[in-house]
Amino acid sequence: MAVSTILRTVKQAIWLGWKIDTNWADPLVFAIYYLIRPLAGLLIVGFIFLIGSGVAGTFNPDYFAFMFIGNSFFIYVVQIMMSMSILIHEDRSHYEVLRHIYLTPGSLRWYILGRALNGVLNATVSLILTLGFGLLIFQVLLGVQMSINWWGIDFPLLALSLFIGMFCFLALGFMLCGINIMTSRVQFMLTEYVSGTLYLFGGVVFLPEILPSWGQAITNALPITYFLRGIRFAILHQAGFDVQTNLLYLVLTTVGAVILGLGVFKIAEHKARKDGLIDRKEEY
Amino acid sequence: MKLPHSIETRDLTRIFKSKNETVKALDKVSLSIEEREIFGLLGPNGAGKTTFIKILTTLLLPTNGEAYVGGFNVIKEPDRVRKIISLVSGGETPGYGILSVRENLWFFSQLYGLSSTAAREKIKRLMADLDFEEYANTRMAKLSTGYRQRLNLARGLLSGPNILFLDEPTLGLDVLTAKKLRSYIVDWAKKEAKGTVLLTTHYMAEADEMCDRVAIIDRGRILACDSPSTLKENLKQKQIMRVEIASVQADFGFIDKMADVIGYSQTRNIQTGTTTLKIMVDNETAFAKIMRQLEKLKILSVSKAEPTLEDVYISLVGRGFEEGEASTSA
Repeated sequence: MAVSTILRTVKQAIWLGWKIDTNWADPLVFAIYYLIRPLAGLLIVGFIFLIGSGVAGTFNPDYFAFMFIGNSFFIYVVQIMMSMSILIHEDRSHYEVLRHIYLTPGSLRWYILGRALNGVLNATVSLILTLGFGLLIFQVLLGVQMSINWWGIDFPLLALSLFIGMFCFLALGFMLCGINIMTSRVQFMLTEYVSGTLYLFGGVVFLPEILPSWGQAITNALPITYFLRGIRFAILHQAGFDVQTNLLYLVLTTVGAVILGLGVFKIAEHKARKDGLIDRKEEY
Repeated sequence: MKLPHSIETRDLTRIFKSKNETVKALDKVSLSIEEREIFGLLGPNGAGKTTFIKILTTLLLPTNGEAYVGGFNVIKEPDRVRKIISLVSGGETPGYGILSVRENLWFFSQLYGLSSTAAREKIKRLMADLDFEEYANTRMAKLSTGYRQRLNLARGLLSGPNILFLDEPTLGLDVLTAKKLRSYIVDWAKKEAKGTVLLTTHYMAEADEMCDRVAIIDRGRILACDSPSTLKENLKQKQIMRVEIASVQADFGFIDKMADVIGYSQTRNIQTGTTTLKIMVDNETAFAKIMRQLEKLKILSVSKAEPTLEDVYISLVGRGFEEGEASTSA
């Protein structure tokens, strides 16, 4: 397939994703929703932490920063998985155009990638807004101490961790797309199961060390663990952290996720052709 | 392996299995369609037409047999097939309801890999040719059925396909829009260097008007394949009578059991309270016997009919399309 066709497909899919995301509301309402949705998640966890610390009589600024960063960057998982999981059902059953996209030389995979990249862009904007308003609320208004040196961020490491992490989340998104092609009406449930598992075992808001040994084994197999560790080190610079080993594990687990994600998608595509699932009619 | 035909199938078979039943939607279908030919696949709902098109457009795999489109194997070379085909179905959503007509066409033009200049020119021309330029900035969701189908056809022609698959393209359209689309498709096939059209329909007049050749399909099997005129010519020896009766509840099952009856169809009109029978017999004696039975009912008119493609279907299957649809589950 021509590179220009791939680029045009990806570009149009990003544009379409944006149109679909923003279509349901006035721009102002959408902007408020855009900010409130991720910020609400952070505020809930932040206030639970602060109340718990108040009851216990101790406050750990390192741990608050751990939770703050983990919860903020988890938005990538939620946004990418949700956008990729929903699009198959949306395009197949609601808009009824999936089969025409499937039949274009632009290919369904590149189209899905474009829609997912729209999710990445949305997540990046949400992340920036969440970090900004989170700091304003917790650090400026409430005077909460966080051991974050915003001027000492290791941007190359941050960018590298984000870059590799995106491959991983996109691959898991393709896995969800594949499962959604083969099934009907499980898109929301499926996204919640997968992102819930990553939230629980990925060291998002608490240290994995408090999990039982089997739980820690799951933690060590998940790429999000190494993704968040890399992000946190780039921002928090914890002592005794082995950057290179973490990057190696991030790459290895990401390669595993890519093989799994694209493998499931390929199987799903074949099954879809075998059973006529690409244009299956179902209630939306 | 390259083949000279635009479309060729060999013993194409598709079986659908579910928990309770197994349906043979296509049963060893072998067809060859030439370049620049408008080929019609005619049959009642559930005959296997859409399954046939889905396999040729790479949406579905066959259970057995081979199929080639533009010389490419649809099973092994789906990507190459997709580059030269387009699919337009009747009654389907032609794009995203939230996008305007122009935005929808632009979106698909980019997925087809058209350059910006070529896409703009082609979109403008197609909207003008199909007469819906004034709706360019209207959201697709607000279009009427007729204009949606114009948009759908424009989307299908954007990529400049060699082979156009039309699955019941005029389904649910008003007479004028259907006529316009039919004449546009015929013109397109004449103008395009490799413009092959495979049309599925259960409208006899549509197949008769548009197609160079027609295959009649029933329950997954091809029963006849030739030009419409030749198919009808073969019925010249038969007697075809049209009888209008003032009843929609009468049972005409006895006709089938009578000697020298080839077949019949019935069209019930609830609004007028009438049933129109089309009866095909080998000789006039057989028809006289039927009329004696029908005299018990109120007969409004009796006339001799010229053979149509539906009569070809009746002569092959022994019943009309409506009866076929009622008794077919595929």
